[in-house]
Amino acid sequence: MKKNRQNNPLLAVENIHLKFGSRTILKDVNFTIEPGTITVITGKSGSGKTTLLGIISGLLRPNKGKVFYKGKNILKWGDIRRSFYRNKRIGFVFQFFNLLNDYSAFQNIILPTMFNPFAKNAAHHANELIDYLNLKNISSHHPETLSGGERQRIAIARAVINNPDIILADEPTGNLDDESAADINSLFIKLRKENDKAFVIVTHDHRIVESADYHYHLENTELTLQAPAGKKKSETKSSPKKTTAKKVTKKSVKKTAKKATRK
Amino acid sequence: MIHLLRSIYYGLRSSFKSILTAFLSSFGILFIITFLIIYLSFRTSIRDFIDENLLGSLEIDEIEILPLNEKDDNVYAASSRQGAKLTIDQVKAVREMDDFLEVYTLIMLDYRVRLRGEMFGNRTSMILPFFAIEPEFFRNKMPDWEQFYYKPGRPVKMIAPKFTLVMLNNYLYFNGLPQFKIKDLKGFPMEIQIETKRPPRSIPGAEINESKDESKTHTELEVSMFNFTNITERIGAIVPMDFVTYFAKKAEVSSGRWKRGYQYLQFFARVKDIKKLPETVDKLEKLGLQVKSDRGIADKANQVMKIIDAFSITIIGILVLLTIVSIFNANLNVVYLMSHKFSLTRILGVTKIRIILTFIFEAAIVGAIYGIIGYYAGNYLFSYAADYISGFLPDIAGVKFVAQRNTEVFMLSMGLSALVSAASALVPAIFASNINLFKAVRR
Ligand SMILES: Nc1ncnc2c1ncn2[C@@H]1O[C@H](COP(=O)(O)OP(=O)(O)O)[C@@H](O)[C@H]1O
Ligand SMILES: [Mg+2]
Repeated sequence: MKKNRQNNPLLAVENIHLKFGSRTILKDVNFTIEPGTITVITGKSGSGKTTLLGIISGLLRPNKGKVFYKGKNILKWGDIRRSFYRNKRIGFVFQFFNLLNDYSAFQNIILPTMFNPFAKNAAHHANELIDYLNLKNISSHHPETLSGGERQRIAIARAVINNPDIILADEPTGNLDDESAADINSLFIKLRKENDKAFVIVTHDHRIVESADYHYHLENTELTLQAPAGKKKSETKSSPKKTTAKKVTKKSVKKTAKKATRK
Repeated sequence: MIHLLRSIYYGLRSSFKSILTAFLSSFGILFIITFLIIYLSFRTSIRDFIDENLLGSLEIDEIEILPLNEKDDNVYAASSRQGAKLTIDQVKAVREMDDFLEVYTLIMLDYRVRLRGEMFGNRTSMILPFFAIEPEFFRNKMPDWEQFYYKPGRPVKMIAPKFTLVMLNNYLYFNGLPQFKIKDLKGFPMEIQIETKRPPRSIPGAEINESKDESKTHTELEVSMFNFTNITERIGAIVPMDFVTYFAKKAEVSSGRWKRGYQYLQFFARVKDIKKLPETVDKLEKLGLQVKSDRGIADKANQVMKIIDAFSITIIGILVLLTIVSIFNANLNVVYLMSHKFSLTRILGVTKIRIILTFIFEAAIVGAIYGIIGYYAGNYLFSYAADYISGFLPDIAGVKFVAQRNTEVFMLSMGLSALVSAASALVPAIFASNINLFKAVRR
């Protein structure tokens, strides 16, 4: 991390404090995100994971601290700039998909480009993405008619349509069966590898945790890294992270681990 | 380009559902615009009626200057030789005042004049007071006023009081004869016979008959009907001033003793500054004169109009308020129902200002559509009501009810309703833009 001092990290969260009323949710939270990595955040329900994603994306303002995107403090930006940042730099994936039922899958995918005044060839780009993510056969369907796994793939396509640097996923497999969950997980890995995107994934899913480069745990307002950071850095884009992941997630269920690593 | 079209398409598509909701809630706008149209139409009709029938034909800055002892109600005296006259001193004094832009003098011939005419084979003749005024007086009242000047050898142009036309038409009506309009009677030929003590010097086109006892001479002249006016209530005909001075000169010079041949009855004057009218009136009263103007009537009419306006605007105001509240309410409901969607689009990068503008734009469109519907509904209801009312109350049958069908009113209805609708959407739009951004994420 020290090496990276002069070129700013993609995203740096510094000294974040957040209270809801008198209740402290986050206290002195720090971490950085690099391109081409998957960062996983675990923690009990209500511990503040979603809140943290909100802060990263500029949706929530912490009581204290800074959020740097490529060295610039997004908390100092006005609404228009922060909206643009969300639109262009950030992709969101949710537990409950949050697709619009009035629109077809294709229209849902293309939706963020509608809010991006600089989007070019949106339809062409969307079609490429649909091919890439194997969504061709469902792209004209409406979300209600699709399975959870299919919906989440549509949502992921929507998250990456504007070619963001960072994808924030909040329990993306929390509402899916095992098979779909594995499917989504492999999709993350594929995108991370082939497109050099940074993922921040809030999850309870041990398979995702195992495939992560970094694992943070949020408990009692504090965010702690679950593995030695120095070692991670060098291994970011190579495979032998499985071992570290296993170490990190000793508490997690081991039975289903094979599935996740299959692909 | 395609991207833009697609954006618009999605935008419209997504608005469609909310537009439907907004449509139902904005129904009140229809009442506002309908009422506005009806009110404007009635207002114009009544205004026109007042202008035409109550205000006479005086302009707002025109006044009549009369002798003090002139009795308002004694029409006969006013038109007869016994009526009050202006003295020469008064005439000189008024003409020297610099309060006026223009001063015209109404005079009365000092000779007995008999008017003769024939219509549908009936010859009639009557002794009638003859008045005269400067033709310029009619400059803004009759488009062909320049034709009114006297040209020796040509028939004398004559203007009759409007009520004689009404009487004539009544007479024709009861005898089963066709009625006349002013333009039908223009140029209608008649004759006058002016009685003087001595024969006047030769006048082209005139036939001068001396009677046997030599105490009277009758000069026969052709006259032709020029127009009708209600500028004065005096019973008598008006001829051009230049004819009277011409004739008087011929008649009096021949008599060997200078006499004017006419009397000064009153002035019509146009004041320079209507605000200084009270001072002018003071000056005139000191001269033993009185002033009549339509200003008083106009003021009263304006007061009545103001009351009607205030009343209607209050009603419109209340309607606007009620509508704003109801649209506001409905919009809040829309915001609540669509809060998840707003939140999601905010997360996907829609700016606050875009949400506000979209919301207001949609509301304005709905409003404009209502404005158009209201415009036609108002016009329809108005014509319906107008028929009904004029059949019901014959007293105001003289009011011409004309629906306000013109571009200005159309634009006004559309603009006003778009404005009302947009205004009611403003606060909900701000709410929508400030919605808890995290709603969608947390679900
Ligand atoms: N707007 C808010 N006002 C008050 N409390 C909130 C608000 N949003 C979240 N919380 C509380 O903050 C805590 C953290 O919420 P959240 O970040 O959603 O937890 P997690 O995603 O880890 O389950 C929860 O106890 C939640 O009730
Ligand atoms: Mg959460």
